[in-house]
Amino acid sequence: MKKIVLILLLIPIILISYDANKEFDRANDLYNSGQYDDAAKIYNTLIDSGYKNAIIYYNLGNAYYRLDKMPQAILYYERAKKLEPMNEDILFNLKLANLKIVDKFEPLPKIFFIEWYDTLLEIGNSDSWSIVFIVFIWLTIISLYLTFWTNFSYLIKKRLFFISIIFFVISILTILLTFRTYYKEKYDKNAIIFSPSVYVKSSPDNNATDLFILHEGTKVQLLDHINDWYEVKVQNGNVGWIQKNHFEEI
Amino acid sequence: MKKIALHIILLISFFRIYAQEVEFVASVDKNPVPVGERISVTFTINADASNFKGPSFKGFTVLGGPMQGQSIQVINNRMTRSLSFTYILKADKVGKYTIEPATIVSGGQTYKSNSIQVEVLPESDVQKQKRLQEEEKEKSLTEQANEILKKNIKLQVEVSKRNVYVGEQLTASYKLYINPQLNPIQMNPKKIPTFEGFWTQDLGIDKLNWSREVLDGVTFNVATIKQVVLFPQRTGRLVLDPYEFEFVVRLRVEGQRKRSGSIFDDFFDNPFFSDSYRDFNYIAKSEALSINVNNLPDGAPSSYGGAVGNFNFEANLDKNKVKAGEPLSLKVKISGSGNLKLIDPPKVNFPPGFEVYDPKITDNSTITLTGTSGSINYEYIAIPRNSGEFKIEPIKFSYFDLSRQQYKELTSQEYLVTVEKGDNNQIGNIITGVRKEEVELIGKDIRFIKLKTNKLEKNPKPFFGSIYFWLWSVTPFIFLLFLIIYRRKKLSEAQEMLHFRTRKATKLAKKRLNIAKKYLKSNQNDKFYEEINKALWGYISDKLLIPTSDLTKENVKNILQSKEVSENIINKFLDTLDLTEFARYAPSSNQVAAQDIYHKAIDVISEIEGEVKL
Repeated sequence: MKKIVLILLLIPIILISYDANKEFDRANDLYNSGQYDDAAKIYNTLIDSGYKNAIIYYNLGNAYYRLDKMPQAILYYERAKKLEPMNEDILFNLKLANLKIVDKFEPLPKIFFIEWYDTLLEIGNSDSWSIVFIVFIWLTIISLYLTFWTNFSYLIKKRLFFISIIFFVISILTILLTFRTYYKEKYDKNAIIFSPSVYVKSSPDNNATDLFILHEGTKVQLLDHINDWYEVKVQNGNVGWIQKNHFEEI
Repeated sequence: MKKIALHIILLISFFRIYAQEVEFVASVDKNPVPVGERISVTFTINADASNFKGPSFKGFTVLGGPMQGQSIQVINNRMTRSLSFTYILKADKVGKYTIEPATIVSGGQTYKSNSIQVEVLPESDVQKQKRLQEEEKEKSLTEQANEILKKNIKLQVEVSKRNVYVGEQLTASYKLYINPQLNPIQMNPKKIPTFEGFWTQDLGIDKLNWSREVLDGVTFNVATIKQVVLFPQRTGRLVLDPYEFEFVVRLRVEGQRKRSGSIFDDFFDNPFFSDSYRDFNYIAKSEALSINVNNLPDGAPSSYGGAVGNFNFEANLDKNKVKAGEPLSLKVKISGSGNLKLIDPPKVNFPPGFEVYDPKITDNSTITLTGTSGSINYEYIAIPRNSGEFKIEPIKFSYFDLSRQQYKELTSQEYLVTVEKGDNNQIGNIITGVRKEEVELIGKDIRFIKLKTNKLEKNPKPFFGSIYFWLWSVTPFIFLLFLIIYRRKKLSEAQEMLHFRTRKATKLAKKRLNIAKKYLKSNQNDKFYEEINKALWGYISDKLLIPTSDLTKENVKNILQSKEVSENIINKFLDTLDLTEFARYAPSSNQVAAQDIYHKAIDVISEIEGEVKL
């Protein structure tokens, strides 16, 4: 009885997913024939109905790039990058799109080990780091098993034990990285400026002093918010307040 | 022949001319000479010469020279050419002085003149008196002339203010007063003031306008010779250095002998003879004036750019809507009176992304004695590069109001500019601020979309934190736990087994030995030896936990040695083993030997028992 219910529940899911892949192909065809606007629409409906993966985001970014809508293109490349941080195509197209926007901020120089740490956080998301962790924890267990439950010679066992310690250390580091990236994903919010130009204020108030100006397509970090005012941090370290309607969260 | 003779004669005659002795002589016109008198020294050479070098005239002051003279004399058909060099010297001190020889080059040879000793005598009383009198007279004459000129020539400076603020305008006029009766032959400016610390604007005077003015009861001819507008640039006491004007004035000098009253003198006292005119030099100086320049009061607005006076301010933006890449023009006009030319252009804060050029400045101001007035226009050109809504902050201009003694700030309105997207091929689309590593990306196109994807899932859940993640990461630990428990169990079992075996070793050996004893008694020798052999091997195998596969004598020896069993016992054990084996395969053995082996085996087992500790 239970099995039948399960199968009945699964059928619509399978049907819908089949449909989704077909829609995806249709959008790709439209893109191919140069109908970027229509392609973007289909990608968007797919995303809106919950089908999210790096590839759809990437293709939608491309469609927007072709339509010369850089802020949107950058937004979707960034979303794709969040899911697949090491995908070279995503990184390349994002770089190209960033060339076409106005603001070019020189990132603040960092101390080398912080830079390394940040790169580690950049090259993988929590999912990929957690997989690395699982691989290493298994390797640790396997090498421990080989050390204690087999009849290898003393020398091999000694080496195996040493290796298992290394695996263990790596797995500890990767689980720490996993948690760090997880919290980063959850709490470090970034956004893309969508207004052609927006004055960044010194405080969450329309009459506050204009600190600097940001243009569409610029990526900012969201630090804090009061009602619809958000405190943003630009790559070069400048901080100020803008209203919610000027940006789109990644 | 005749020709040759003629040549010889000619030669000889030339020779005679050149062979004539060259003389280079020094001479003085008088010797001795009274102190303070002039003396002329002449060096004469009777040949063509060059490179004259005069001596240093110690004890004399050179008043002039060398003056070169030339003379040709023909005496007795002989031509003498001579060159002379004359110095005019003044004897400085009483004493004897030597005029050192001079040198000259003639015909490739250097000649040296004679030296002369000159005696300088003290002045005679008459001479001295005469000289002093003359000096006295000259002095009083100049003094008198100066006195007269001082009264009759005046150079005066007038300033409009002597206590000003930095940047406040003041004027200085230099006026020349000359008594109309005076007859200046020449007048030249000698030193023009430099006006250090001021920004100056000279109001040029093309022509001197003479007018009459009464000063201290005397009527003068007056003309303004210089008029300058000054703007002090720093605070403190600034000094207008004096203007110096040099005059040469011809004055009538009364006859020298007029006062003596003699007829004879009167005859000469005729104005025609005795009244002489003399030119006197006179330098007229204006007063050095100091101007007290005060610092402007504190509290200047941030927009303050040095303006002092009274101004108006207008700003005008040409359009509010513009396409990216097209220029915007913002005109700022400052009008009024004050130091217009010295104002810093007001700062205009264009939004970022606007290309801003230096303002074009048009100066419509005029400088007069009463002040500078008019207007200055600044035209700011800015080109927006990006579309969007932009603000140009209000432009502020501030000045120091002299009449109210306070700063005033004028503010323009805020301008809102809508920048529309420019045409595509306009500069508005240019890629700016590209980093070095990005240069190679220019002109490249994006990579193509991905055509294949995994089966699309609705709302995919992240792996981290999912049940699968926990399953995969927790299972190895559970696995490890199981392994540990299992191993613990196995280990304790094995441990027990081992203890059991060692404890049993002696028992088993005893058992076998007992059996062997039975065989010995029943005279079954080969069975007896076999049992002994088994007992020994079995004992050592159980005792030392050697697996049966590793049971060799060598191994046993090594292990016993490692357990620190004495060499004696080891040898005894091995010997006994050898004996049993040997006896097993040698049937001709007797009872006594068997008895012996039996005892030996018991001995060695008990000895090993005592030595081997677990």
